[in-house]
Amino acid sequence: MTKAKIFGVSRHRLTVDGEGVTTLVAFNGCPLRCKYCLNKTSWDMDKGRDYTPEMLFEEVKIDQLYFLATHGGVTFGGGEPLLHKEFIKEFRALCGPQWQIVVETSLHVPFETIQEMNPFLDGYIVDIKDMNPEIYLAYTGKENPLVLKNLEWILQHKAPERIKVRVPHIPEFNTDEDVAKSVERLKAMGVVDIDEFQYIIR
Amino acid sequence: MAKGKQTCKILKEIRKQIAAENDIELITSECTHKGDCAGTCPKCEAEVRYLERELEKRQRLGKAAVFAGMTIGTAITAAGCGPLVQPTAGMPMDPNDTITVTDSTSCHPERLLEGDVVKTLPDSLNPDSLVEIKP
Repeated sequence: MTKAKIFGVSRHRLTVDGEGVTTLVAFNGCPLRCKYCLNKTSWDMDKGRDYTPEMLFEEVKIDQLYFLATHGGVTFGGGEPLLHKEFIKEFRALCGPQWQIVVETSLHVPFETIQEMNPFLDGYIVDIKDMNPEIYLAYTGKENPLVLKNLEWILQHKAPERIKVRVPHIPEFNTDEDVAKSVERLKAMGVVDIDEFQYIIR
Repeated sequence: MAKGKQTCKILKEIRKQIAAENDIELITSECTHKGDCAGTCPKCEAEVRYLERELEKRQRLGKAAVFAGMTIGTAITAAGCGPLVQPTAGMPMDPNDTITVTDSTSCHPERLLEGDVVKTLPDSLNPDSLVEIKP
């Protein structure tokens, strides 16, 4: 039986995690260790609650009418949701094709995972951090060539408007100029939905 | 709790649109609740269940549910609420944008998940504290 630790389920999110009314489901587990990680809870695999896909479906289907009416659905985040590919695939089988399933991901997962999961997903919200490999390494503790390879692949296999790439201004790690360079590179790759925003740490 | 009230208004507008598009009589009343609002409540949920039952009745009679043309944008406009969307690329960024760091494990819908981008700050929060970096 597939199980996963989930540390948050947030209903009625309006347009912040994709189209329409969505429910955000936050998984534990992440390959990155970002300096200002917003969800450090996700690093601890002991926190959160064990769910099966069936349990989660029973819990979130309460909002099915809103999902269907507004072209919304479930956004899987975390943590890194693509570490839980079997869970998401089983969940898709339960909810059917009408719910929109979006992942909020770093894309820092094996290339094969992206290829395997793409047919089960309606969209991506990619947390790209920074396109500069040195800044990425300094901020996340990991290198980014895999991320770029995965991004290139999904841009070829999913409609560009289904891929939102979030580019943060990260205090002490990147400058406005770095962010502008990232945005420019992303546009050159074919990204059309870029969400530039500011981390303000408190 | 203003966010909860705003969510409530938008969801109510969506319910009204679903009812109108499917010829379902839905009588709603003005919410007079003064305290905390989580965006939904037993009364709101009962309206959703009522709509589901009515749609099922229609489906048994061979009528498909109609959801055509329904967007959050139209619901927001009809509810008279301000935009909830994050700043988009190319737009000047709102200096009040911030990323909250709050415990979400209770899963209370009114509490923000960590990582939420919010447009306004809690009244009690001194904006000066936002520039402090705590690695």
